[in-house]
Amino acid sequence: MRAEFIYPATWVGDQRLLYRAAEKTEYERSLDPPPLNNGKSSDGRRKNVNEPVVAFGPPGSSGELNVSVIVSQVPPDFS
Amino acid sequence: MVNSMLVSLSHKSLLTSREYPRKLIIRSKLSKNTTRNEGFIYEFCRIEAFGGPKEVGEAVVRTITGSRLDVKGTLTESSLREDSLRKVNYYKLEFRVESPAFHRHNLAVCCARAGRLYTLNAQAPESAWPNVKADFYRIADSFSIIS
Repeated sequence: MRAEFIYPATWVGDQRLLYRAAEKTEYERSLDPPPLNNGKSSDGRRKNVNEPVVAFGPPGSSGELNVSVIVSQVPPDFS
Repeated sequence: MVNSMLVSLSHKSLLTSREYPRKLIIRSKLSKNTTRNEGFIYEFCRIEAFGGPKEVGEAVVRTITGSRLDVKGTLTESSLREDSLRKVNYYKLEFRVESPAFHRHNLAVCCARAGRLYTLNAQAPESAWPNVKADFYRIADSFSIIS
């Protein structure tokens, strides 16, 4: 599945998404046993939260102005 | 000034995105746990299954405000955009979220296809809304499932 949209050319990607993707990949590939805190992230973020797959905003801004896309799975039993 | 960049991304390759002039493409795929039968059912799962634009918009606003008494959400517009070629409907939702700490204006587009719910959300401080309104409408109207 693919989706597309346009956004202002001066806007930049949210680097936090890259860090989280790297963190997730590292967690998935790690040969170390899971942490003792039941696998919870050290920063307390919930793993089951649907986070944006992409996010863009003006460079140097606080994040108040942005566009993002979330892709979530519809439960198989949804009716 | 909405120009355009084309960035090709997948869930696994956020770090290796390539940029071209034009627009952004998001690739998604069904999870490993999804069977073919489920995929077959998902093909028929559309945004209408969640209700009409107003109903979905009000649910989105309720989800955002939650049970917090100091946060107020107001759905101001909701509309339907149809792509008869790809048989996908898009709900465009405009709403405000206000609290003592912030006043935000949001423009969201929701659609469902192949068992996945896609939500584009553009948000701005209410004070900036007049300046970004035209860009936001253009972003929202450009959002589409392309395969």
